[in-house]
Amino acid sequence: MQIKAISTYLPEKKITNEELANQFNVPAEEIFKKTGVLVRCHTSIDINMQKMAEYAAIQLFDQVPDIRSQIDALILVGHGFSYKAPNTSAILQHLLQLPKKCYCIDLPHGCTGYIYGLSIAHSLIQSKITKNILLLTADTPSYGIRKDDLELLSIFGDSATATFITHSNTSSSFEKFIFYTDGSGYDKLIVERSGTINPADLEYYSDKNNPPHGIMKMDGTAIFLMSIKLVPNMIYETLEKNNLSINDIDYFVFHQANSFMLEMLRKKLKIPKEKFFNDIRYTGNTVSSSIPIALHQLIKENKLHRGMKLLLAGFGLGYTLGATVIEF
Amino acid sequence: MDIQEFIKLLENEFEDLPKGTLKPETNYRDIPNWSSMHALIIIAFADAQFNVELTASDLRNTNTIQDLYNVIQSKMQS
Repeated sequence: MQIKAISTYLPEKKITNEELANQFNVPAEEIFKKTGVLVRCHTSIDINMQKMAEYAAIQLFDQVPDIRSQIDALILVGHGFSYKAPNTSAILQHLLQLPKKCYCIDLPHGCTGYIYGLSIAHSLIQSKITKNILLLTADTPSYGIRKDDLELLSIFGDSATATFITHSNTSSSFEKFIFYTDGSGYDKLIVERSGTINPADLEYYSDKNNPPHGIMKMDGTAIFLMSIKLVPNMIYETLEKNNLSINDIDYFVFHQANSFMLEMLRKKLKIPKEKFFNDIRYTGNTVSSSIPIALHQLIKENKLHRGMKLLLAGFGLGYTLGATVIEF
Repeated sequence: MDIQEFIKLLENEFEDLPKGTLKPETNYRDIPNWSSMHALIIIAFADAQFNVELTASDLRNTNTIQDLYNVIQSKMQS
């Protein structure tokens, strides 16, 4: 498979560190030091993940006009789908006027979502089920954060991305994936009161500070520990499975969770700074969108060239982890 | 490894800290601008240097560099 094009959508409303600093009476500089974020974007209640995904896809079609009629698969990664049923990807097939002969699937995943999406795209192509895949990510973490939660408000940002992936004529010796799951950490990053377990009730809604679709809770220390412990080995395994060494990789793009933690991982893995993407200054942690946003930025900055070997890794809520090597 | 070598390695993790600031009896929460970030640095340091898993509650039960050294040593031996 080959990534042919990527587009990104960032909501208009920006929340700066200065605003948060004023609201919570903390130094703006502290917020930046802890997270690496200067500005994060918040979408509105009527521009939900479906709408943001639609915008990102439309931008992609503007970039590459002739792909719309070729698409035969749509993967929609994220949370906050429009309805419990039907799948939101089916609604998008209609709104985006994609061909009706189309495989559509919603993929409820977070930090590892893009890697999961790529693994499905890869499998669809390898098994000849489909050829031209539109992989969308859309995340609205702001919907689940209480207005008085500085930690979560500092870190997360809303966004959506669209990636066009097509079969390539040569088979790749890479694209070997590694996945890990440890469900014992399910409650370390969780949106409570949002599903069928202990759903939100009148008492929940009587607190006006509670977000409407459930409330996000995060144990930052636990996630940090998990990442430091599990990610490096996963990277080594992924390299081995793809028959490569660290030096063979042209660029490492990890899920952009937190700049401080990413720098720790980079040092632990001894990856040179110039080969390691770490920049969430203007987006915050955008969950499943963070890897494609990073790739899009690298493309815009002319840092990615065809033939480059990229190691992509996601890790976080679940706990779930996943990584692969692709040729750009 | 003795505590002086341990202190040297630990001081490398705190870029803003002048060498020689930390002593065995130093309460590490007295490190200038101490915050939860520094706790994470210590946790990552224990993992990277010694392959030892320190939890947030391990840290809560320690106060001095000597305490930290002792906890890490005992986890290395177990």
